[in-house]
Amino acid sequence: MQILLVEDDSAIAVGLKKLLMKEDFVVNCVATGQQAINQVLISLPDIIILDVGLPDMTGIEVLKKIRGRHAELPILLLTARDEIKDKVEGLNAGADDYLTKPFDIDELIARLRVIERRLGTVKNSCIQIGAIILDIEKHEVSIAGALVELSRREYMLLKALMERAGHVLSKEQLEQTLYGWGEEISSNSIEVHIHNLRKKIDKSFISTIRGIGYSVKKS
Amino acid sequence: MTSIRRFMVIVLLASITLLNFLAALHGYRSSMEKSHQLFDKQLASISQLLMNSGVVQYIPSHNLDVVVAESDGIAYQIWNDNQTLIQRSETLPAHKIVSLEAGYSYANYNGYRWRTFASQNPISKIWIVVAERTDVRYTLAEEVVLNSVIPIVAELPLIGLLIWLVIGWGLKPINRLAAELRNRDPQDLQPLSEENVVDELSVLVESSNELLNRLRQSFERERRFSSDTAHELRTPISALKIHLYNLKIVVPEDNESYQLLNLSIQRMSHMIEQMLILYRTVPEQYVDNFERVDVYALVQNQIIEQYQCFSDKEQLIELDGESFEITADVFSINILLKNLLDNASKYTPVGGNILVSVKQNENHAILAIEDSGCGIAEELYGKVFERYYRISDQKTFDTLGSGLGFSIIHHILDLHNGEIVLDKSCFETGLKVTIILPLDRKKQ
Repeated sequence: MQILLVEDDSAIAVGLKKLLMKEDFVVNCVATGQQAINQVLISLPDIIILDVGLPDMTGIEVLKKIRGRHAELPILLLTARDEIKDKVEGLNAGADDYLTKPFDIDELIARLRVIERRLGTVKNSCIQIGAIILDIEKHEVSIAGALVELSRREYMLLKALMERAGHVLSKEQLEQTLYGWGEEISSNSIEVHIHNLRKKIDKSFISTIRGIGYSVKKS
Repeated sequence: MTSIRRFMVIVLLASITLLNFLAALHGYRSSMEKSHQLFDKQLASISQLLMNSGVVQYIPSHNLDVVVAESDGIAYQIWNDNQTLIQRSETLPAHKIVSLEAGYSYANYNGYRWRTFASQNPISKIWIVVAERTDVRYTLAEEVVLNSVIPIVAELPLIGLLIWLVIGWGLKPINRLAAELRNRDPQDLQPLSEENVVDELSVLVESSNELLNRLRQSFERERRFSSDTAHELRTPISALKIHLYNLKIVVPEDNESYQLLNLSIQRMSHMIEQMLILYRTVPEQYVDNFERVDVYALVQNQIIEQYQCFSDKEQLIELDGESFEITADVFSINILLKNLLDNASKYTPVGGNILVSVKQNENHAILAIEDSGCGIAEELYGKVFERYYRISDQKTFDTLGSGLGFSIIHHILDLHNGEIVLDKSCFETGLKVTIILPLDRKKQ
């Protein structure tokens, strides 16, 4: 997994490179927008982590130039500005994701993992929480090694929850994951699926947060 | 001087009165002088008339009275060359009231002062003395003179009223400017309108605008400086966080220095974020954007956003209530919620409870956040709103916090005409924070 890190602050660049390499990413660092554009021409990375504030041009300009040629290339923006209009501008210009400095390191890694899984470039595309392992490539779920039969909707719900372990997902957010598959869902279908899921896996694995949604604890 | 108008009316009216008085006095004097000459001439011509009749000694006295009767208060004596009285009017005595010398003179008789004119006929050598009571003369003259002076005095109140109105009219631009300044919002640093400004005030308006402009620029500079500084600080903080994360491999996580470094970085980071929010939500600088929004959904989303801080501390958070809309600024309400939720999580121990409820009554949304934390002593309720105040209590010492949280909350509530009430929570211990927001902004 090749990452092109575009960051002019050397303290961040060095630290981030070290950190990401420890997570088994291959990291290439450049400090200016022009270098980033050149680097993409030389060798296409899998992901670009792009700082918005660069010395020669803004990250948004770099983003637009690269987007023009590589429509599919995942680009994650890093910025010190967090006003909504900045966020909207970044996403409109074609960024896949957006992190505000100072960001949580685990959050950065988690987002990179999501992109990585989406790209399907991971050798080990499994999410493991406790005894439960979800294999994204094979669409399989196992508990302590034993395969569990899940419907496609149950699988999608469990995947969404496990990918965002430690977070809470509202019913609406979970519905959207299913809508993504073009499914018609009735108002209580999420409750029904969660109920069914709980029967098949550890009952306490998915917790209900009253008034808010559902959550899976981090391991 | 409390009023330009009053000052000018008084001064102008006083000056006009004084000048009119002087003019009247002068007019009176010169008129009296002229009338005096006129009366003297009249006296002389009456004397001439008597003289020219030529038959003075033969005419009975009352006939002569007829001749002079037209002139009120005029009397006469006619003497022959031997200084013997030939004839006299009833009003004069038989003796001489003046010596028989040609010309004008004064005489006192019968309690009155008389103006006399004596002349001698060169042929018959008869002396004619004509006399006129000066008081009658003065009364007549005064009547004439006063008739011309009185209107000048009588019109003074009218002049005063006119001056009052004209000055009021002339001062209108000043009043307009004063009204514009008075009705201005204290936060409004927009320049004054330079349209229709009279020449005398244009300098004032221009320099006021220059001042307002400088003030606005310095506010803007201060805001930008604070905002930029806080933004600039985010980059080194990121670097600190990254390097601290990398240190975990080299240093055991329970190392005390590592722990304290971690806590300090978190605290610094938190404080910078709060400063940024504070600068963005202070009323002078904040351009709000009020819209209809589902407050229940806002609360739900904010809890989802921040869920990790509850799950990290294994706190059980629950949301109770119903979906309804209020008119609010989404950005600042989110900050308000974030701060309240942060505080609730911060001051609640691991495994504690947090209960959020969103309800409405007739005019207000009532948002309550209750926790099972250590709470705040009732006598400190007032103090939590003071900026930078942190409750220095052993129990809360280790928790993160810049003390800015509650002052940010206060700013946002001001913006929404909202209220905050602190109380004991429904749990055994802990704080209940109730936020009351108007459902509709216009009703306030």
